[in-house]
Amino acid sequence: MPRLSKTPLAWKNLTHDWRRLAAAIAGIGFAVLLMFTQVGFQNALFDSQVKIIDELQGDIFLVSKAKYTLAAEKRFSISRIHQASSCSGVSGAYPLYSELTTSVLRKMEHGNGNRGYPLRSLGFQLSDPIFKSQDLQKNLNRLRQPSTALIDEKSKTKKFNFPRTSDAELAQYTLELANQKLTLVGTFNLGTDFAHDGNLVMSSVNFAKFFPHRKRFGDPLSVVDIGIIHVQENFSPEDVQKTLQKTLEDDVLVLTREAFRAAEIKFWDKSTPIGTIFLAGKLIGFVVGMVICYQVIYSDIAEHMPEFATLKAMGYKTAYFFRLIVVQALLLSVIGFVPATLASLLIYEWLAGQTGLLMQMTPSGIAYVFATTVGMCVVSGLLAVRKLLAADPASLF
Amino acid sequence: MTDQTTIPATSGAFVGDLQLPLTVQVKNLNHFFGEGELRKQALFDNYLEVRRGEIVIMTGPSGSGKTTLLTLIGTLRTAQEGSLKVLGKQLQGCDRDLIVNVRRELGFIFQAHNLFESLTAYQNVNMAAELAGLDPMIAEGRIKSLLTRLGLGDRIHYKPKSLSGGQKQSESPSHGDWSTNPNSSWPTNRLPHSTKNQDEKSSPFSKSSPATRAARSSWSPTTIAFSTLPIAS
Repeated sequence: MPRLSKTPLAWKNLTHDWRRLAAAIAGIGFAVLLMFTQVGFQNALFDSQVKIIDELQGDIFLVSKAKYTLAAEKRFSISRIHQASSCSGVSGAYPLYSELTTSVLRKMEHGNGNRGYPLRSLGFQLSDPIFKSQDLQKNLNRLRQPSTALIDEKSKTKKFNFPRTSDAELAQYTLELANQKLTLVGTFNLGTDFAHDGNLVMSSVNFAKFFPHRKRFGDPLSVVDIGIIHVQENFSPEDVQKTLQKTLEDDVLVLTREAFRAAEIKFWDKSTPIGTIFLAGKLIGFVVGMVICYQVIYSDIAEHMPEFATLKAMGYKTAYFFRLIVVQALLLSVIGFVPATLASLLIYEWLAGQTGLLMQMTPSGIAYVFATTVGMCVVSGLLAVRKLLAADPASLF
Repeated sequence: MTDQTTIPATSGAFVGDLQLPLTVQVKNLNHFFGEGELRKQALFDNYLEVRRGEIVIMTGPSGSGKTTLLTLIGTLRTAQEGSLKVLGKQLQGCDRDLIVNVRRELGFIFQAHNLFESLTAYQNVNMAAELAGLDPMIAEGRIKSLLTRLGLGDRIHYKPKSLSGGQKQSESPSHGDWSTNPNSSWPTNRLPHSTKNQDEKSSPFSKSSPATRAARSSWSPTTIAFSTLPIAS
């Protein structure tokens, strides 16, 4: 049988010494892991920040013009909601109330001291279509009783140490929210982010009772944090958004779902040091990986230098060695990448459990890290092979 | 090339006045190592002519420039000053492509075997066959018969690690001697290189050495051998 392919020298050299191969995989895998952790944290941060947007129903959102991020407690008048609901193409406009700084949860327990932890309280009229979650819809009836709330089961366990599986046990706890008695009647699922350690949801009636000072003089429910607008079926959200922008005073921003999401991510990426920090982290991972990769490929070439010099003396061209090293670098990046990706998956899971952040291995994240890994290996391979390409065979033995 | 093939494979001493083409022509060759203050001349105004079919043995004390001259002729080193013609091609100041072409016409037997540890004996020799662009079917037959002739018939698919030192020595000439001309028999021109640290048995000048065996088995090579040993031994 004729052999169609040539001697797979790159593969043979790479796999000949399994100890060296294991070291190479570990080295490159480490760099891949480093980059995945950075990418994962960055995506987790951004995804966690906008998780609440993803959990909300509605097509268009109203926020105060001064609200630069969701955690900023800038509000607008409820009259904007009323105006919006009468606009053409709008099927409904609903207010969502949110409180963070005064929303302090305290566990009244002997020996627990007086320590309270802030968490985000969300209030809405129970009849309004606010959240997508079906579980939450089922539990809404429980919120009709006075001084009740549901707690986010993803609230940080260290600070909010409640039984998350049994509603009956949960109800036994004596708690205070903003210095008023609170009974937890169940859980829901939202997730924490970098600004919020936990979440409560409650009816707007209870919300007004807990936080009467939201507005200095007047109804606490007359100032809104987020307006949620549903668009009629035969209207496009973009058109309705334009109409609303024209109709409403310019103290509110009218944002489509995508724009709302993008603006929030942009804040965390650009207006905080976070984007730069993660960029630096990724760069460090890249450089570390390149150094490791260079070492691996360089020592491999150095060890085989007499053999390569012999091939050169036999008449193999520069292009052959060029190809050989590129193939070797590609193989190295693939066999380093696969186990490191699997390890990263485990680390993501562990980190998600520890932090409550959304650690997700997205296709774009995988593509990004893989492209970086390949680039890292090929560039360092080409740097390592320079000597072999330029020198006379006699000086290589 | 065609009329040359009729010339018998003998040493140049027996061809008398026949005007054989010069295989190696060295004129006025100087070579330096190092740069700047450390620049040191290794070859001073060297002249050498080697005709087709000749076997040349060169001896000299350590550091006299044998290897330098050999590696220059073997295109392993770039010629600096003077004229160096190998197989009719001027190597001084020529471009890379020409050097690569000349390299493919030469065989070089190294002191060390320089075999890839990751490849089997067969695959190591095949690296040369692939370079020559031989049909894989033909190459397979040739590699097997060559390795068998060199006493490696039962070890064709062994890696160098499991070959003895002598067997590795046998394999390396077959690694080095492939003609790019598929019509010719394979070994064309070879440059064995030996120093005193090799024993008599594996010396390229002994009857049983791989180079001698390869030289005897083929038709018209030019062989240049270098050694620090007196030939009388």
